[in-house]
Order: sequence, then structure tokens, then C-alpha cells
Amino acid sequence: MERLLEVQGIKKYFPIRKRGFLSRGTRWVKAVDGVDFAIGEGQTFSIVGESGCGKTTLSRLLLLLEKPTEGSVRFRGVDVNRLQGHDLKSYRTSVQAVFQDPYGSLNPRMRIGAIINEPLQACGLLTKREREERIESALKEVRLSGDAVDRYPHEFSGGQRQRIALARALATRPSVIVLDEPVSALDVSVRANVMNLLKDLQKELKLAYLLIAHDLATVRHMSDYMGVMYLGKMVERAPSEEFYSHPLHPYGQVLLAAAASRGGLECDIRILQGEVPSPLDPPAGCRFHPRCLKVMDICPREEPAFTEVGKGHWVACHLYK
Amino acid sequence: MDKLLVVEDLKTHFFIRRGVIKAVDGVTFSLGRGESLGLVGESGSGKSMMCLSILRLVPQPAGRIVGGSIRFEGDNLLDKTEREMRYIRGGKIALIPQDPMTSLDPTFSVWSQLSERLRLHRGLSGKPLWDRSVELLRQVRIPSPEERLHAYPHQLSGGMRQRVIGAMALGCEPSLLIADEPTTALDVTIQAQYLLLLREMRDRLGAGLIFVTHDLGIVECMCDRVAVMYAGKIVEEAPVTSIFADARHPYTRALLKSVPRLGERSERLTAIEGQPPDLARLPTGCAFRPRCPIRVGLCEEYPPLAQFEGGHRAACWLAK
Repeated sequence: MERLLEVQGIKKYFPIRKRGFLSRGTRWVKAVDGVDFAIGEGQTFSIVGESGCGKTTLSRLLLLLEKPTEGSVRFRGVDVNRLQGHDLKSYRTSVQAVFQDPYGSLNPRMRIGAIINEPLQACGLLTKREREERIESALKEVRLSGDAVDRYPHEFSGGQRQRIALARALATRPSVIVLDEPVSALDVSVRANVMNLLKDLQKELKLAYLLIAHDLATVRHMSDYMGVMYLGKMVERAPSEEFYSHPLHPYGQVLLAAAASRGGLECDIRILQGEVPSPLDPPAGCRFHPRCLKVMDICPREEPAFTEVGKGHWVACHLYK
Repeated sequence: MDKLLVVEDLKTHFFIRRGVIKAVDGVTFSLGRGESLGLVGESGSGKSMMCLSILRLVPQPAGRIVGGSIRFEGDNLLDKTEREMRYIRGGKIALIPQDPMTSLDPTFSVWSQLSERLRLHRGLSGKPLWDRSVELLRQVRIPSPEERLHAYPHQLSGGMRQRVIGAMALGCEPSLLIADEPTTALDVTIQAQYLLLLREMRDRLGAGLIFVTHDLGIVECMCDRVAVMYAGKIVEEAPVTSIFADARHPYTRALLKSVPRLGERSERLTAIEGQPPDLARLPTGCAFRPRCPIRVGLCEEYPPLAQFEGGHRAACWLAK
């Protein structure tokens, strides 16, 4: 696999400072705690997990909106946190993002033209004429008419707005787009439209996607590879068809069962007891052990290593040794 | 059979500057005791307004129930006085709203929000009130309920808050539960826990359940029957099994096809063309006509909700 973007042992800890002069030391929220994966050109890597598992922090690390505590993000072999000046700008144009809520991510007081122009101007490489051409072609790519440039976001429906957000991401000709829950804020009947568009564009423009989602059916439809995160750790990583046919980690299995019971496969709702513990104070050993259906003696004592058990199928669980 | 709830030709309209928005426009359905009806539709299809109409909580003064009747346990709710309605709401009909983050008051503890209802509707006070509150929290499986009663909403997680709301709904043993997208704000594993709890609550009370959602998958494991709404009208109503096997309205069929299914991987989804309708400027006749793949000239006139075998109803000229 040609590795376009590679994440190695990345960690992000957020400090929590206590007030008062008697308290000593700082506590840390380990939002992302040692995650590895790679995205190849033109591929989709999806990350699933419940809220608070660190998937959004991970995407912010890729977008250089956060500095990693440890580990690295490599883009075409270069550590992006060492980039400066021109190279940094060029990385920022290569990695773009589309966010969940198209009502919040477009400035209501800017015209569509200005919204799409902003990243182009920020990268500072193009003349006014070239920028106008880019805006026009970006709108064409997302199947919107050219007269949209002079209109405002409120004139568009949710699905159309998400296309505008996508056009803004496409304008700088990126090779990676981070999609943070791109369809979950949209109406059911327009979701399929946006998903089809994303897949078409991926083929046309050889885009790589990092898809963050919680709906497993959507993820299966969109992705080539996927990772399951739990409390800042990646617990399972596999080609997505492999994951859907043989999930190995008990958490992956439960997630899939919970989704399947709503997807019409069976109506038996398998229940995962309890809730996600606080990342401030994660359980010792395997972080999933208090909720795990197959917990063993070793689980609370020792943290399982992330090992390859099948072809490209990685899992962090004591059951597989 | 003695029906718990019979809604007939209900019309809830909003009068705004741009015109009249027919949020609910001639809806007819009924619900028996112990039965669950799934109400499915996109945002703006009128499903939430339908629920608020049953509770007579339509936002005033723009919105008004302009026609029809809502018979609940034999009485027409539209004839009740505001005072009588206050005893029905929360007492006999309980609403489980969508967002547990905003439907609890952040400035009051769980105890004061939960006990308020029991005090008003059941006249409990003192020790019995406390015991009943603890009992309710235990029923919705909140760990160490005595301590949780003193907690404020921000100290609870999303799933826990939704359980507190469940306990509040359960409190007065209502005969009708209305759940308006109760799980959309929750994580998948928490969702599954909550759905099971909701099923249990329904069975224990023998109450009717109206379950509003846009997720057809949830309907399948929660409900006996489904009503699909589009632009303020019910376009199809059927037992759960027959809607998945044999949908008759083109909108339902398109909706079922456009959602990726977990069981298979498809290259392309069949998308529904066009945009959801603007309720102030609905086309004449069938509202789905502009997006419908099989429209014919006849569709310019609104099709009646025709009855088919097996309790299946569909509003389409071409449904057979």
C-alpha cells in the first residue's frame, strides 16, 4: 500500500490544572494515547467509536490544529509537525476538512464565493483570476450551479450546504480530506446523495478520506480500512470487509451487534453494560475490561499489545495471542 | 376493540407571514393499549408537531389545531380545558423528548425535578415521595439511586440523563408514552440499552407507545406498526413486517433503498432526487410528486389513503 499519510504512536494529553496552592502536579486527560494507522492514496480510512473516544482529537492532530504530545504524523514521508513556511502552507492545502454541521461551518454573513475563496487566499499562491476559476470548478465538482457564488448560505438546504463545505475543501486541490461525521446532520433522504457524491469525487480526483463516523452502516458503505477506538486507544484495525465479517475485539463485536440490531438483521438487542468511563481516570490494564463480556483474569492487570492476528487485521486483546 | 387513542383528520397549521404552514394536515390513525406505533419521517414532515398536538402543546400563537379530533380513552382532548390538560400531561400521557441535555433544568437537582411530578399528580410527600423516587430511578437502572437523586443534570452523562427523563415519564404510570427521537443524542451502545429499557417500560405499564424517529432500523425492533409521514400527511401505514417486505408508497420504497444497510456493501446508494419540500409552497396534489420516480398525470390530485389487505394503507394512485 502506497502510504500517503501515516500516523505513528501519536498521543495527545490535555492538562487539567487544579486550583489552590496545596494541590501538586497536573492531571492529564489522555484523549489520544498511542494510535497508529496509515491512509493510502485514493483510499478511505474510517474511525468509529463512541463519543469521548478521541476520534475528533485525532482528526485535529492531522489538521495541525493540535500539537501531538508524542508521536508523529507523516505526509509523503515527512513529519508534518516539523514543517515550516512554504512547506507548512503546502501541507495545509493538501489536507482539508468537512465538518459535521453545515449550519455551523459556513459563515452566514459571507457569500458562497467568499467562503470558497478564503482557503485559496490563505494559501497565497494564486492570482485573483486563478482563484475565480478554482471556485467555479469546485462548485461544478459538487454539482452546484455557478450562480451560487453570489448567494448566502441561508438560501441553501442542508444537503446543498454540505456540498458547499465540500467545495471549499476541494478548492485547494487536496489529496486528503478529513470528513468528521459528514452526513449525520443531514436529512435521511439527502444523505445518500452526499455519500454518492463523496464516492464519485474520490474516484475522479483520487482523494484519500479520513472518515469519522458513528454509524457503522455508513462506514461500511464508504470505507476501505477502518479502526475502532475506545478511550483514546485503537483497539482494532482491519480492512473494512474483514472487520464486518469477523470482528475480533469484544468491543468491535458489541458495536456491530448494537448496530445490527437496529439494521434489521435481528431484533435481539445485545446489551453492553455500563458507560464509557472518564478518560481522566481510565481503568487499569485493558481499558475495556469493566464492560467486556469476555473479561479474563489478566485483563485488569496487563494492557494488551496491539498485534497483527490476520492479514492486516490488528487487535489489542488478550483473547488473541 | 377499545382503542386508547384515535386521531381523526387532525390539522395543525401555522400562520406566518409567508403563508400557512400545514405542519399536520389531515392525519388519521389509532393506537390500542400495549401497542407501539412508529412515526417515521424527515425533519419538517410533521411528526414532532403531531406529538405536540396530542399534548396540546403546539407553539402559540402562530400554531393552531384547526380541525379534527383526538380521542384519548374515549374523550376528545381538543374539548378539554387547559386545567384538565395539565392533569393529563405527565399524568396519563408522558412525553420523552429528544434531547436529554436541554429537557432537564440545569438549575434544579434530579430530586426536585422528579418529585415535582409525583407531588402534583399523585399527591405524594415526605417519606413515600422519597421512596417512590428512589424506586423509579432503580427501575430505569440508575446505580446508587439515593446519591443520584441529589445530583444536578450536569453531573450525569447523556445516557443517565435520558434515564432520568425515562423515570419521570414512568412516574405516574401513564397509559400513553410519546417518545420523540429519544435516542438520537446517544451513543450506539447506550442507545441499545435505552431501547430495551423503553420496551420494558411499555410492557410493564401496558401503555401505548408512539415512537418518533427517522431511523427505520429502530422502528423494526421497537414497533408493531409504522406510519410514514411526508409533508404533514401519513403517506403509508402498515404492520412493521409488511412495510419492509412490501412497501407500497414510492417515498417509503425510496427511503428504504437510500439507507445503507449494515448487512451488505453496495457500490452506490439509490438517492432520492430533489430537496425535502418547502411546507409554505407545497405543490398541488401529492407532495412527493416532484421527487417521485413513477409520477403520472393523476398525481396532481391528492391520492386518498387507500386500504389494502393486512391493515396496510398507502396514499398513492399507483399503489396496488
